[in-house]
Amino acid sequence: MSGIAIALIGLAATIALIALRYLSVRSYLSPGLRRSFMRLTAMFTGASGLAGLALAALSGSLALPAGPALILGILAFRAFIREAGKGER
Amino acid sequence: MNKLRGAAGFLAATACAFGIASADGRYFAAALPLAAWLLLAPRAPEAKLKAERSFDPGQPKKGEPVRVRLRLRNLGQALPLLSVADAVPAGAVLAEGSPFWRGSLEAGAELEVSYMVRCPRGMFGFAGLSCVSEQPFWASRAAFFLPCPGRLAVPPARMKAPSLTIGAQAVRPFSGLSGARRAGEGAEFFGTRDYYPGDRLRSLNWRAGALWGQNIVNLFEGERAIDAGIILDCRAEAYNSADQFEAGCAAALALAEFFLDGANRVGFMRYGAELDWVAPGAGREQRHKLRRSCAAATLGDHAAFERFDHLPVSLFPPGSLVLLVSPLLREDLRALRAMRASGYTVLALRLDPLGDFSGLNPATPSEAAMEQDIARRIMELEDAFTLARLSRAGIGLLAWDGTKPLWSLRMRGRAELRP
Repeated sequence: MSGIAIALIGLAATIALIALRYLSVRSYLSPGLRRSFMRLTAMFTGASGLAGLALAALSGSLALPAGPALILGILAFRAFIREAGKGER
Repeated sequence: MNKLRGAAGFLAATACAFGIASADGRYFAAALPLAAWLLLAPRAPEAKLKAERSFDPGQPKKGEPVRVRLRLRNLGQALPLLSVADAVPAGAVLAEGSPFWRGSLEAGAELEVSYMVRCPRGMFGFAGLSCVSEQPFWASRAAFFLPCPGRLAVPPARMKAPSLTIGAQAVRPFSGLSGARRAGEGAEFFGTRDYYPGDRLRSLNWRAGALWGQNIVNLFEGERAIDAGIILDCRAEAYNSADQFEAGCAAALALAEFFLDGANRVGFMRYGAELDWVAPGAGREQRHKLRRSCAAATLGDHAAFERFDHLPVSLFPPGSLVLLVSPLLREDLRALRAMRASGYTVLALRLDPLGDFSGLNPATPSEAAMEQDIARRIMELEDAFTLARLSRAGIGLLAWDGTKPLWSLRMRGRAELRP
């Protein structure tokens, strides 16, 4: 599988989660807040998609962007643990 | 836990783990949007809210729907997404509406949430609101508790009390409706005595004077207020069923309000699970206190209150009327006689252990086993013996089996005023 396809899978997963979030809060938001939500979604998916595609394209030439990737992984794991901990409390 | 943020964290961490394991940078590219959504999320806005709670009606009847109104005011910044949930106390049943609200709240805006509950007799405490402030897009959230206390007292069902004409050894200097017979300014004839200078001439009894050859004046009965103390037995071992206890609570409140209506001073004591005491008083505020106390009555066991031996009857004014509402165990007789010997006028409302208090319907004869009939007969004989001893001790008795309305009860025996 090419690097761009894998990056698109990550982007699609993000968009799916944001869409689920939108569906769950849509009825509680005013029209203004809904527009703001859509605008933010477009900006975020655009920016993160571009960054992901760029990283995927670069990762073919680089052996492993180890430093930033490791930090990213640790932060993501930490965020996951924190979210899980909120539920426990 | 916010499931979406949890899922994003899990997916991002999994992609990163794959990347590290396979030494392939493409998986990190897949994790980037997910991790960014997680990590770039700003904190949820801090809420500064003020909440007030009200009940309508403030003193509901048993089973009557009560509207709970919550008024929230946003004193801080605008909240794009706020969730508010009120906890309905145990025992209360949601009748209409929802104690949950979710939406956006502008700065300075007010919000009213209302719903209806039905409550049985009891005291229901509302603590506060569970609130969550969220960022709609980022799904970050801050949960907090907003105190909004409230207490809802649901007194027992109202009953009409039997009209008791019973007095007490000590009377108050004020007029009131009671059986206390004292000479004073009244309309009913009380007696006669010799004339003394200063007596009003219109009170002269001319016929008696002509008969006995001396001046006699009529005396009239002045109705005087008394001090009445109601004791509600809350010992779990004394009651056969919850219906019997509910009937006892309702009867205790009916009798307390009967004496209160007669401008008497009424005190109230709950004895059993705990010792709760409402000091003697009169008036509207005292009526509210009595209703709250009856609403809060619960059955329970306490080693110190198993018997009436520790009854702090001295809390009631000396010489006052003490009325005990209880099924009366055999061992309670001694305590009642001791109370009587201390100078109190004692009256007992006995809730018949064999009575039927479920809806106050007559008990339907059932095809009970022979053993049950014998047991019932033994209990009846034991009851008759106890009641006879009470009567001999000068303790008035109202026996209630639940098949007749409370107001139709007539006093057995005579509550004597002097030991």
